[in-house]
This record gives sequence, C-alpha cells and structure tokens, in this order.
Amino acid sequence: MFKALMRVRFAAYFYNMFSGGGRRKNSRGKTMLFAALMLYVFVVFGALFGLFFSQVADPFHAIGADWLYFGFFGIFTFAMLFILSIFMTTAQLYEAKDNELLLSLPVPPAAIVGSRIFSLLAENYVFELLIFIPSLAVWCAKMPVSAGLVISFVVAALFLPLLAFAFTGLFAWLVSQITSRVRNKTALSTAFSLLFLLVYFVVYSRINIYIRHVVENGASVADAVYRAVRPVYWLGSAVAYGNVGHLLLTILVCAVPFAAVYAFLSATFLRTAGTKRGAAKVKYERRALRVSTSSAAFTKKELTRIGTSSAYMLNAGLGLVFMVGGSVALLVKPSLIAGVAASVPGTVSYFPQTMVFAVCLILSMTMFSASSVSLEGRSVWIPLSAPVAGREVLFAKARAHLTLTLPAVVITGAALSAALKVTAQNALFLFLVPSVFAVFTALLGVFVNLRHPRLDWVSEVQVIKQGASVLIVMLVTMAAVFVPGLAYLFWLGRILPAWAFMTAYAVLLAAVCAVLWGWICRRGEALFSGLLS
Amino acid sequence: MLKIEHLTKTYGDKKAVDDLSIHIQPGEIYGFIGPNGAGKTTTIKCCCGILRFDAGEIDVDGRSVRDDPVACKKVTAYMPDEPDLYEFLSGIKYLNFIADIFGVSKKDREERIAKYADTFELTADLAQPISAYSHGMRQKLSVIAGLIHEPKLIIMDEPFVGLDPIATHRLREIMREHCSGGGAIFFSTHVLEVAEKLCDHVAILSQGRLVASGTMDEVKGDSSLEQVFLELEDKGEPNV
Repeated sequence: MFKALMRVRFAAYFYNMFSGGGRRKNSRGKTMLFAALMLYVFVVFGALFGLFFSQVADPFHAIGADWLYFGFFGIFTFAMLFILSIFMTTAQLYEAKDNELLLSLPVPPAAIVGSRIFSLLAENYVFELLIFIPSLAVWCAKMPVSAGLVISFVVAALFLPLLAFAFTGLFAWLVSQITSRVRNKTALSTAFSLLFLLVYFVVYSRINIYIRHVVENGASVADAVYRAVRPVYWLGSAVAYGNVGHLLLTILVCAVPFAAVYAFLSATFLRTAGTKRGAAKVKYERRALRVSTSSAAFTKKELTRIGTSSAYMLNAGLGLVFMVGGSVALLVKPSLIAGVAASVPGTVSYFPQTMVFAVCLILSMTMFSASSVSLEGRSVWIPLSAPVAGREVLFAKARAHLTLTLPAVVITGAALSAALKVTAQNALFLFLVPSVFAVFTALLGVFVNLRHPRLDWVSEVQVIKQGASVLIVMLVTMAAVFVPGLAYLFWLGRILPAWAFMTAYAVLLAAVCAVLWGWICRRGEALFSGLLS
Repeated sequence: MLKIEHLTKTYGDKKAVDDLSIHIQPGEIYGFIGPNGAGKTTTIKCCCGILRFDAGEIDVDGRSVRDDPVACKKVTAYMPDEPDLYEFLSGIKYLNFIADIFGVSKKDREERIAKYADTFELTADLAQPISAYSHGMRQKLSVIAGLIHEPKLIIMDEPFVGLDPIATHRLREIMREHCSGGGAIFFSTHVLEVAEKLCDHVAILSQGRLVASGTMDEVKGDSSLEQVFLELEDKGEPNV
C-alpha cells in the first residue's frame, strides 16, 4: 500500500517536471533542455557553497578544528532544507487536493503521511547535494581523505534531512492549526513567510561579515558551537575523525525526532486535514455591483488570485518585496547606496547603469505571469467558454503582472534617483529600462507558460514553485540582464556612451516585447483555445 | 438554434465522436443520452468552443462555432458536469465576473442574481468563498452563472447531479420557461426518467456514433426510454 502511494507520488512528481501537461508528450530535446537548466542552477548554487568551504577549510584545519568544517555542513544543510521546504511541507501535507480522495480509500493515515513525507525527503536529498558535493569536493582537494571519512559523511548526510523534516513537519502542523482558526489565512501565511524572508535576508546580507568572523575567530567559534550545539560537534567529529560513537549519536539525534514527528503527524492527520479552512460564515448582504469591461474583469480575477494565495504572492512576487523594501531602506538611510557602490569593485563610474541592471535583475524574480496559464487548472473551461478572444484572457494575465510590478518600478526608480542624486538622463533610464523590462517579463511569462502549461496540478505550489515555465522565465530574464550588463561593464561601456547603450538596450527589449505581443495575438491565442483539445 | 453536422472528433487514434448530426430548434429541450465514454461530453465541449473538432460543422443561432466562436459563445450558456469554478472568488464575485464577461447591464445582473439566488436558496451564501461551497452549491452557482446573461441556447452536462430535489425541480421549471420563451436546451443525462419527462427530442449516442434520435415518441414508441436504451446498447446498431 505504502509502495503504491510512493509510486503515485513519484509518478506525479516526474510527470510534473518532464511532461508537457496536455495530451502531447515532451520531446527529448525539451527534456534535455530542462535537465540542462537544472544543472545550471545546481552549478551556480554549488559554486556559492564551494566558495564558502574553500575559505574555511584551511583556517579550521590549522587550528585543529576539522570537525567545524563538517559542522558547518550540518548547519547549512539544516537551515537550507528548513527554509526551502517549510511551505512546501504545509502545502503537501494539509492543502493537497487529493487528501479527501486518499482518506476515503482503505489507506491508513500513517501511509498517506508517510508517502508525502518521503517524497518531500527525496526532494530534500536533492537540495542537500547542493552543499554535500561542494563541501566534499573542497575537502578532497585540500585535505587527506580516507574511506572512513567518506562513509561517515554519506551516512550523516543521509540522516540530516530527517532532522530538518522533524522541524518543518512540526512547523507545518502549527501553521495549519493557526490558519484553520483565522479568517484571513492568506494574510497570516504571508506574514509568516515575510518574517522568514526577513530573517533569511538579514543573515544573507551579512554573510560576508559572518564568514570573515568565522575565519578570523575559528577557535572561539569552535568553542562556542561545541558548548551551545553539541550535536553539531558530534556530526563534525563523526565525519572528520571517524568517531563511531559520535556517528551513532548523530543518527539518533536525527532519527528519533523524525520518528516522533512522523508518529505525531500520522496521529493528528485525520483531524488536521479534515478541518475546514476559514472561520465563521459571512452572510451575504445585497449591495450595488460594480460593472467592468471583460478585460478589466479578467485582470481583476488575476489580481484576486494573487491576493488570495500567499504561495503565489511570495514565490512569484519576491522581487517586489525586495524592490519596495529596498526603496524604503534607501529613503530612510540614503547612505546605504554608497556602501553598495563601494562593495562592487570597478563599477563606480558606471554605477547608475549598474543600478538599472540591478533593478532588472530583481524584476526577473517577479514572475506572476509565468504560472498564470497553468493556474487556470481545471477551471480553464471558464475562459475557454467565455465570449472573449483568447488574447484578451492572456493579456489580462500580463496586465495583472504589470499592475503590481510597474508601481514598484516607479517607487524604486524614485528612491534610487533621490539617493544617487543622478542626472535627469540617468533618472530617465532608471524608470524607462526597468519598465520595459517589466513588460518583457510579463509577456515572456505568458509566452513560456503557454508553451509549457500544466493544468492538472494537485497543489498550486506545483506550478508556482516547481513548474518548468517558472524556471525557464527566471533563467531567460536573468540572462537578459547578465549578458548585456556584463558586456557593458567590461566592453561596451568603454566604446559607447551610457545613453546610447541604455537606449539601445531599451529599444531591443521593446522589440522583443513587440514580437512576443504579436506571437500571443496569433499563435498564443490558438494555443490557448486548444489547451484542452 | 444548434446545428451539428457530421461532427467528428478524435483523440489520437480514437474517434470520440464519429459523424454526428443533430439539429435543435428554438423552443426544444433536447436530451442527449448514452453510456459513459460514448462521447457526450466531448460533443458538448465542441459545441461550446472548448474543444476543437476534426471534421464537420457546428452552428449556433446561424453562426459557425469554428469561424465565429465569440459570437456563438455570447448566446450560449455552458454548465459543465464538474463545477470547477474559481475557488478564490466568493459566489457573488464569481457571478459579477461572469456578468462582466457577458456584458450584462448593472440593473439586469442585480435583478437576475437576486432572482436566481433566491430560487436556488443560495443568497445567504453568496459572500462565502467558493472553496467553502459543497458540490451542490457549486452546481447551483454554475447554473445561476449560466442564466445570468439570458442565453438563447443552454448546454448542460449532467445538470442534475449533486442538486437536491427542490433545486432539481426548480431547474426543470426554469428549463421549461426558457424553452417556452423561444430558447433551446441541449443537455446530457444518465437519468432516463428525467429525460423521458422533460425532453421533446432525444438522441442516443454509443461509442461516438448516433444510434437513435427523434422526438421522444418516435424514439421510445410504446416502451420506456430505458428499455429502448438497453436494447440499442445490446444491438449497437444505428436507428437514426
């Protein structure tokens, strides 16, 4: 029974990742492209962790604290898995649409919970590789390696995600308990998520300071970790010195809380998953209805969808949080920007232009339109049977994206212009280029999602977070920033005046937008009307 | 009002609908029956412009669904078998959204929502999000949304599934009123007693092919519709 459930989970997972979503099968080329994109993401993140480990390996070895190297592997892995899977766990355990179906079958709740937990664990093992591979590679390159070390490291790495899940599982249960008792679930989930993000970015923004502190004060850091978090020492000692007793302790520290949380979630699953979301019933009172055009109605519908889903809001709107948050910080403390300028060597003379690219890079993390077609899901019959042209539905998705994005572009442009005290020309580019880039992102999202739709999702997170179209849009928009940005910084900046380059970049983006617009009007409309055919 | 001529729709190698022809006149309630997988839903979705078809022609109120789908959809209401509505909207916001899409005036939409929500006893629940609705409530909301623009042609896929007896009775009354006012209704059902009592015409589909059609009396003669249906299914022979 459990095996059957696991088969279904993994079949759904791979179907979601690699299938075309409709009746058509994906070509081998598309699968290869998707695999290449995944590899690229792995290489980028792996390189970031590799950089950290290469900075600390020698200093830790020099003070005889090899265990701290692997201790940091444990800390990073735990933190990353917790952050990456916290909301996924809530969605998969308590918000999956097939919960009722599974509960109606002769399947014990423990098997349902188990199948979901193990599929989440499988994902976590993949995420863990982002840290495991670079940390092992750096150690192998710099230090002597024994078979015992590799075996201990692999064993510890296999058990560590269990501990991370014990915490995410409990947190997911807590979130589901609170959200089932409040009326505005979305606001609460968003507040939780923003709090998380705030902590994450405070740590991230200070990571260089922390690394320097760790490198310079290895002995005192080792002593503090040893005293405060003994399991981290056990993990490090088990791997670095082959201490079998500490390896067993590490296994116990990971496995016992996991087993306890698994048992607890299984025991409470029936009640928690069956609890109706929302609070007391609101009685309808007749009042005047507002009339809109069909285009405005579709746009409002898209905005309501965004506003009622914290997962959609935060995953697709992360860039907006950065832009508005950064702008507020700049207005409060304009000197911040001088520190940023000084921290990026070689960009002082191009700083206003660098900021244009920085805003565009943040915009590449704003991807409302990239999952908007997939999010129609089983309700796609509504726009398909509506007496409107398909393009009207599709452009409403882009319009909703821009309704949220363009005000943030204006706020950011104003804050940067004021803080940098730029010329009128540079101020114009700070508004103009990101605005055109926002239009590009909106249209590209619709274009890519129409080519990679996924309408049969069980949880919306599957398309918002894991959808192929989201990944493709993010990478393409990032490339659209990095390629011209780096070309300007290292080459074109020396031969072209800034205004000419920025004008050319804006015109090029606008031309791509015009092509995308035309495609949506013709081919896109046809693809949309044939989504179910 | 609805003219289906030699409709053929395939999924891969499988013919879901094979050379189907049906004509529905204004004022008619036309029942569409057949076993599971016979091609009823596929036919209905083709008529509503949701699915493309491979061959044949479908006209709604004299306009081609293939050439002028928007004009056809303007005079049609579609009520699916599974009321998968926008769960993130409240009932009233969904109805207002549909009214916007069909360009219904403020006065008309307010009157019709009030009238039909009262008819189906859904008024008190209209402020609730659709995600909190039961299947029956969603079905009622889907019916109200279909009626909000006073369509000429109503196409319904298993409209009585999930409705309570009172709502079923009221829907049947609305269907009769609609047809007496010159509209037409094309609906699929597995409830043969309902089809027998309600329909002027009936078509029986099996494996994508029309096996019988005509007025109710022509199709069933002296026996019951159930008997005719079972006999035709056993024979699998056309009797058009």
